[in-house]
Amino acid sequence: MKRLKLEPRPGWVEIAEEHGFFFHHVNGEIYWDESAAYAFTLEEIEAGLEDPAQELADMCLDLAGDIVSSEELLETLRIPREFWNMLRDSWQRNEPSLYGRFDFAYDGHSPAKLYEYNADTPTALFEAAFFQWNWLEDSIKLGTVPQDADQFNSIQERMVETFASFQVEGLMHFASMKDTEEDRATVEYILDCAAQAGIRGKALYMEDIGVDEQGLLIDPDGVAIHRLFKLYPWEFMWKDDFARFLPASDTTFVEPAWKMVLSNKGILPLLWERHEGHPNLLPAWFHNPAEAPPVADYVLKPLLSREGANIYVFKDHRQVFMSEGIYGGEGFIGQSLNPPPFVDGHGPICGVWIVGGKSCGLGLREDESPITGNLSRFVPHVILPGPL
Amino acid sequence: MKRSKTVTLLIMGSLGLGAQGCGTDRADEGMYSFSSLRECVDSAIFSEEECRDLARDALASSPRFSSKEECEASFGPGACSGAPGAGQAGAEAGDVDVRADSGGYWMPMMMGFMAGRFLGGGRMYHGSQGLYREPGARPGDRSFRTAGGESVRPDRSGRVNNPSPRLSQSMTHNAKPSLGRSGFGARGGFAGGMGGGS
Repeated sequence: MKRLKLEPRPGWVEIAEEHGFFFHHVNGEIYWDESAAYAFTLEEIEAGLEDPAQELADMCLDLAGDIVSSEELLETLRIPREFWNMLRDSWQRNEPSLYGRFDFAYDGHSPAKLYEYNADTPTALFEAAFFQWNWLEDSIKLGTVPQDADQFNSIQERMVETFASFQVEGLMHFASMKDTEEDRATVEYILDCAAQAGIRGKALYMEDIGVDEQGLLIDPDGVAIHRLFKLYPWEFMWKDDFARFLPASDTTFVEPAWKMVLSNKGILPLLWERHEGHPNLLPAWFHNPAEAPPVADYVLKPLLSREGANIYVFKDHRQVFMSEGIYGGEGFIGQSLNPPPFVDGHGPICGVWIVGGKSCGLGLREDESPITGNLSRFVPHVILPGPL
Repeated sequence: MKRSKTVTLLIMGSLGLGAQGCGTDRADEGMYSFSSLRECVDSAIFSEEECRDLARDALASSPRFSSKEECEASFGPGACSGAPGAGQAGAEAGDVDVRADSGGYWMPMMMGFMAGRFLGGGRMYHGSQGLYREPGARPGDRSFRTAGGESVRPDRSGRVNNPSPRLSQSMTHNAKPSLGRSGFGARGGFAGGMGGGS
């Protein structure tokens, strides 16, 4: 694994915008950064990331089955009781999952270590699946990377395949929240993949979802929402006014309700309990403020949080870093501190995509701060014939 | 190869996401051909939201075939492409049956779509269908065919004049009412002030 410095494509901003990718800069800072790329050997990708992510995805499915059938575990994860039946039903009906992203610390040598699983509403999908692919094809043509360069990225192919397997009849709705350009673009892209699988899709905003007299969800045109892709986390949904309509609605959600157990950081200690010593897991535990953590260097993460919010980093039991946020009310988990590898002053995080249950692609984000939040930069990757 | 063989965008792109289309209250009946979503939006005949809808519906109603041969028998040699994903995976496995079983299919390549606005029962409707290459058409010809085999020859502005009754009829199969702005926005619904992604 190496960080290469490369010449960005001439006119890359125009190329991005032609493809509907407008958040290449965020708040004036570059977000899509093709002045660098990470190079891997095929072995580093397959043995180091692809296979471990597949194994973890399978372990998580087994764990989800255990959690939905255990009141004790549902309590531990602080999932509101009103939703237990709904998520059990969705599990028993085998409601399909579309996607998720495992975030790893990986340096190409030691085993990749799982930071967390974005199982419910992962983003950075368009960048990884489409624009990164587009970058590689252009870079091969321009000669900035070798002709035989490749990429761990069949994400879009797998998205279309997975949507085709959903066998949607009639209309499917795709919702994001208002005033979030990145989310809206992600939803547009997902809708595009669904359209390529022959699904008739309609985009809308979460805020515009209504209910009819029977309490069923409807869109602003009054059309019933039978299938809904929502880029909106389950833990927000269950706190909303409309939560009371969810258990009785006939809407099938993507991600399905059962996925809410896997988007909970509580799965990290549960995975560790079940697979202690697994090379790709970090020691993790449910944090009890009254008890000393088992290690001196650790991170506390809220059971429910996103975008790297409310993370506390401790070294030698002393807090050395914290990120702002609104999460943490439900409690914390602890995880052994394992900083990202230090590559030329950058801390890359490897996000491996699981689509339709299959490990199928990689997107890297790098950051100068120890926590990858939503302002880190996306950097493309290549697979080069080794040795690098 | 560990990457997708090809990736394309059907709907996204070539369109400012920030550019919110305003609802057009144009009440003109008519039929128009567009080679892209962008062209539809630029025409201002339909709102951006309507154009997206029309393009999606046209694509979704495109005919499917379980083999390339069947597709080409209807649409001519070289006019068909395999649906990405399942179809290719099946083909790669060298097992033709897998293709059909896993939901793979062949579709004629869409050259654009035709969108219409028409009155019915006292209200306006809009509908769309795909446009495909007309056998014998030369590159650059503005000459297409519908899935049902009707010829479509739009004028320079893209308008389809004097459509045959059969062509008009074929536009109504996925028609839906053109709605003005409705009053649904103020119902609360799902709240929250930050992005949902992570």
